[in-house]
Amino acid sequence: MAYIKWGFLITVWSVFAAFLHYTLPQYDVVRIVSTYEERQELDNWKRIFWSTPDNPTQAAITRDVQFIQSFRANGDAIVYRNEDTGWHWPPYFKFDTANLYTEANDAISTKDDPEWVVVLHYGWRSVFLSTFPNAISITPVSGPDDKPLNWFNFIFLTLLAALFWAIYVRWRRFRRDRIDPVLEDVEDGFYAAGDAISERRGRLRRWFSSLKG
Amino acid sequence: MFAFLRLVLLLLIILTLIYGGVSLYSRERRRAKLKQHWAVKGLTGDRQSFIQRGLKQYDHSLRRRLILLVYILPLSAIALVIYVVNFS
Repeated sequence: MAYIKWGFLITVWSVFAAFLHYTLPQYDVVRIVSTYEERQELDNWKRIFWSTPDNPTQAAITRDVQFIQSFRANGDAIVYRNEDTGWHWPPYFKFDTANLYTEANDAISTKDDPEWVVVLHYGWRSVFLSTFPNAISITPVSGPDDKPLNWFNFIFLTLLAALFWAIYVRWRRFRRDRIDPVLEDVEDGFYAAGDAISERRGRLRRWFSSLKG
Repeated sequence: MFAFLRLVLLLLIILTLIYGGVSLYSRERRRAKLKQHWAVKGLTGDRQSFIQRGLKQYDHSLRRRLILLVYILPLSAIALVIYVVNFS
């Protein structure tokens, strides 16, 4: 039972952590190399890793998606997709995809004369699933080490932890005051019933033995 | 447009639920405080009208209007995100 309980708890919290890691914004300091547009087939479950078009009549299975190719300071390649989130989840309310594409093209630089930019993004790059993080904004920075502090995540996660703690404390208090006494009552009742039965049985036995004399 | 309407509708429902809950909770708390005040001070007279008067004062108070922040804060947060992401 303990294994099931812990397995369940660990699974639920892992899924929640993964959800937060996918949804919350992150910064990358990169050098943009190129941009391209490619037709994507979005006809299976991997659709959840792509944005939803705003127009319901456009719920087509194939769609052109813009991409931004770049390199990190350590030489790893990273490719972002560039899609509107619109009024959909996650709530970034990004409508300026075309503008961002222009900025990305403007920030293209060569290895010899690198121009570093910080890309705010959410999402995962998975080479197996062919998923790409969605770029939200591009800002020039002075160098590859000039990574801004992600204060939004600090504040958000602190508030979230405080909220969960508040709920947990109240739930424990509620349990201690309202549920545990009731359970104890029921338990006491069982014990009392058990005592009564065994006492009666004892009396019955005594009566029998008195008959046998 | 459909997505926008869906978001607005969802927000309206959720925020109204929160607003209603917080309003009821806050008013009941004020009522409990008035009752406590009556008991501690050992006031005499019409207890019911004392509580009614206190609640009427509460209905016009700044504290009750502050509950409107339940609507204002999320909507301004959305406006701020839209501005930061698209226009700056």
